[in-house]
Amino acid sequence: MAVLDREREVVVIRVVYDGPPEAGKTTSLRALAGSLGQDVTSPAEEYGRTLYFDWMDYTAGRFEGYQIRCQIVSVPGQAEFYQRRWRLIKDADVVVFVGDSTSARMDESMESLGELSRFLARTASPPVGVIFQANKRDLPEAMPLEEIRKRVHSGGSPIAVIESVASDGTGIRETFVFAVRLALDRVREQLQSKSLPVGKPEIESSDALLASLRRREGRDSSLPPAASPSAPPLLRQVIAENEDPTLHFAPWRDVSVAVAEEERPRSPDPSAPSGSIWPPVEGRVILQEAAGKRMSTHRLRGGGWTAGLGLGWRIFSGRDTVFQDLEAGREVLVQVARMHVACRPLLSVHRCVVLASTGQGTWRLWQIVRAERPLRDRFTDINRCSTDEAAARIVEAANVLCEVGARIQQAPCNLPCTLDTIGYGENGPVYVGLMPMDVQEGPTADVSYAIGSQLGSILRSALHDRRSEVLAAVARSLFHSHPSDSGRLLDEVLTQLAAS
Amino acid sequence: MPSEKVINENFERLSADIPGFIAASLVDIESGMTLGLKSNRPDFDLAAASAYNSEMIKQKMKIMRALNLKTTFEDMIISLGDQIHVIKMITPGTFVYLAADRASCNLAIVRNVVNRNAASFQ
Repeated sequence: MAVLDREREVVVIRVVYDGPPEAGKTTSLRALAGSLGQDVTSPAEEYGRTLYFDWMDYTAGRFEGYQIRCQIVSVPGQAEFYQRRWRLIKDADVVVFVGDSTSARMDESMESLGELSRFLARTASPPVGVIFQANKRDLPEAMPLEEIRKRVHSGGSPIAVIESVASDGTGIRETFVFAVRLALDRVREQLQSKSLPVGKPEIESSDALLASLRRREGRDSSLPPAASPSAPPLLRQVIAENEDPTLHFAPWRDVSVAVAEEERPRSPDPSAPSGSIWPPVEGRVILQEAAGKRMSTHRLRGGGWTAGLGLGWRIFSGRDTVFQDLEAGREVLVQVARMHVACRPLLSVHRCVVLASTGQGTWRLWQIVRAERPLRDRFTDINRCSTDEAAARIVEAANVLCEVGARIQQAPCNLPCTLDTIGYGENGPVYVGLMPMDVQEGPTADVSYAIGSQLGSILRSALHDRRSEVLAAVARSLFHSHPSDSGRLLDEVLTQLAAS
Repeated sequence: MPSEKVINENFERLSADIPGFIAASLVDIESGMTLGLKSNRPDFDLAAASAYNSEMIKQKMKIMRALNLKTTFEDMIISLGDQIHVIKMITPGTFVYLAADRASCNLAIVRNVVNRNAASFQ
């Protein structure tokens, strides 16, 4: 919906405040209005509840020489105005989702956020940034922030979380400014792809928006139907299935080496300038989530650097990905971004690449990847499993390695195929490891190594006591399944193990 | 980043410590939006000043890159006929912009007070 009005030298963006009923959308907008010295208009209200929308117009800031004009709109939260909500969100350049963060209402917030994510994934291109404004943080029953982050991220989309107390204005302005930055990232994408509408905006006031809404109501069939009250809480189910046990997964933790404070590069942070983050919109959201606060960096034995250990993200920079000037770094960033794009179907979703200042006059390229469940996690408690269950897990891992390994062979770069780099993403098995920073870098996908050596090692060590029973169960399972590459490789492992 | 309340308290402190304080804001460089502000003079358009100063910083950074300067941008001090303007970088993405009346204070006082309080905006 962003429009570039060259005549008046303004870029118009739409910031939409969404969220479940009584989560604090209108209160947030009013607090923002108070902070910015503006007025909020609500075309129709009933007992203090928004029926159409709340509207605020605010002009401030500069973007590429143009003034930034923000049309700030909040949607009605009540279920009967469901369709109206989507009509307003359809025109958003960024969405601030105001969620009630108290334990009792968090499920409701998550369900509504899931609906929003699914709607945006289907309709918005380039992607629309979403911020989860965790509201009511002053209440004693507010859920811990880490728990909120975990639940928000388990929904699948990259969403930033910022705390707020709308009733006293805490966190409101910060959220808004971050939202504007996300909207401008999207506008920059549209400018580059020449898809940014130019001219006078169709809607310039609360009255015009109201008239447009009334015109559109009743004849727009592209919107989702109203939610059925009896529909299963799908999001809750997805969250339960995606509980991430690898929150503290950081395989390089034990290999960091001591280093003087002044040698440490600064960790990447959300202030990275536009053009230095890939992907532009989701990347900034990921950056806000993974590295919202400045973190201590640690040198790895191989010469690379890591940060934010144990926070559910892998933040990593290779030994050689440091640049004397921004332009040289950008060139490599573009190459790495292209490699990510080419490999995208193979990769876990939540990842970004950032070129960040080291604070020492140089620039460093960082990869940030959410720690998804690697295949190895399936074996952490394998010695407590029944023999059949242990065998089933081994066969399953071998199948996954073969399936993803075959796809990885077609990738334009070398990706290692191991129990630690292959795991379960949101849509099935994917590559969950770090990407090489160079097309030539990294070992090739050697599936036979992963099955022979890594699975073989599990059979030898964790299942040592009942190796022969598990081997027999694996053999039985292979006998009853269709011939496959994984079966053939496992068969070879079984033969070797039986002989050893 | 500190809360808006803390930002406002910091500006109150700057206002109290700098004689001739006119206005100050904490600004997001990328968008030019203010994250907090205080103005003692209603005719001083602080939002516009903040936005244009963010453009100036972006240009200055371009100049530094063009000159291949491997150093950091710390602050900028601008002397007008009757005002002093100070721009102090807080993080790579934010800066404090402050204007003071030149007849009531001097460069050294303004710079010193701003530097002393800069950390509290981080």
